[in-house]
Amino acid sequence: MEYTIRQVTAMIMQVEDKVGVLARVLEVLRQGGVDMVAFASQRRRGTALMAIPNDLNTLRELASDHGMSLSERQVFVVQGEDGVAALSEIAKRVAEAGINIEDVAAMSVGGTYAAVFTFADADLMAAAEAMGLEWPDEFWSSEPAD
Amino acid sequence: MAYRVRQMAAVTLQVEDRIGMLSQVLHALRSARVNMLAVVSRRKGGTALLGIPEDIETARKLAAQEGVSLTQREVFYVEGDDEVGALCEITDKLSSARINIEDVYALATDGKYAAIYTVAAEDVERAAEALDIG
Repeated sequence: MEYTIRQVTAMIMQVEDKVGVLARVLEVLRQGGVDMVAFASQRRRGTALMAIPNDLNTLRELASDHGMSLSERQVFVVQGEDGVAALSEIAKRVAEAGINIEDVAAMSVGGTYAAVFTFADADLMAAAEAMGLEWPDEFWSSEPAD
Repeated sequence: MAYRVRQMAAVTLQVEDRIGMLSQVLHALRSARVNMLAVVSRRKGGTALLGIPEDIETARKLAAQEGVSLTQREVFYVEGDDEVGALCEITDKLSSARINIEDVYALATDGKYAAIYTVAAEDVERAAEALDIG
């Protein structure tokens, strides 16, 4: 079973929960030439959008130009073959490390598989370690305070 | 923009929000060889799972064996060539039909993308029409 796991930065935005808002946001992203690895929209007390762009700076600049307020969080993108087997292996490793997964979105994409795993900020370093990744120095500020 | 939209039966279940629960469910699916086109797990007052099995009957049998209560809902599964703005056309069609989209999950890899759109049960028929698959 072969797959890769990457830690990436996702951009989060809260928008009004009404017909057409998602279409407008996506049109802004299209016109701004924002290419995305993943996108999610969930209705939870308003609508929460999560975008994982290939180029963070393009999206940051676009958000600034349009007065959009974005927050950032670290998530993990998995790409590979044999979806359920890979997902179950990762979920097992994380569970064995005593970490609760926040959200997962996984799907078959053109014969391969891709997934996004999110964790509470306090669990990010431990999750990275459980998945065999090194936690980059630049994200040390996400380490929970004792 | 080349893409294909299918209306598909998804299964949903609520599971306990605890460490290892998702791993347990995924291992059961793996052991029973239930292939999933998509799996979404959200923590929201417990953990809500949504899956699109390739064979819904196998998933139902597994749930019955495990004593798990599944509900079924219709979702829209999109596959296409990945390019900037790939989600715009589908989203515009739903917006033009005045349909509020519940959730969207989209992922891209190797020049392709897939996406799941969910809408309220009462909007499924109109959404299918708006997406030209009614």
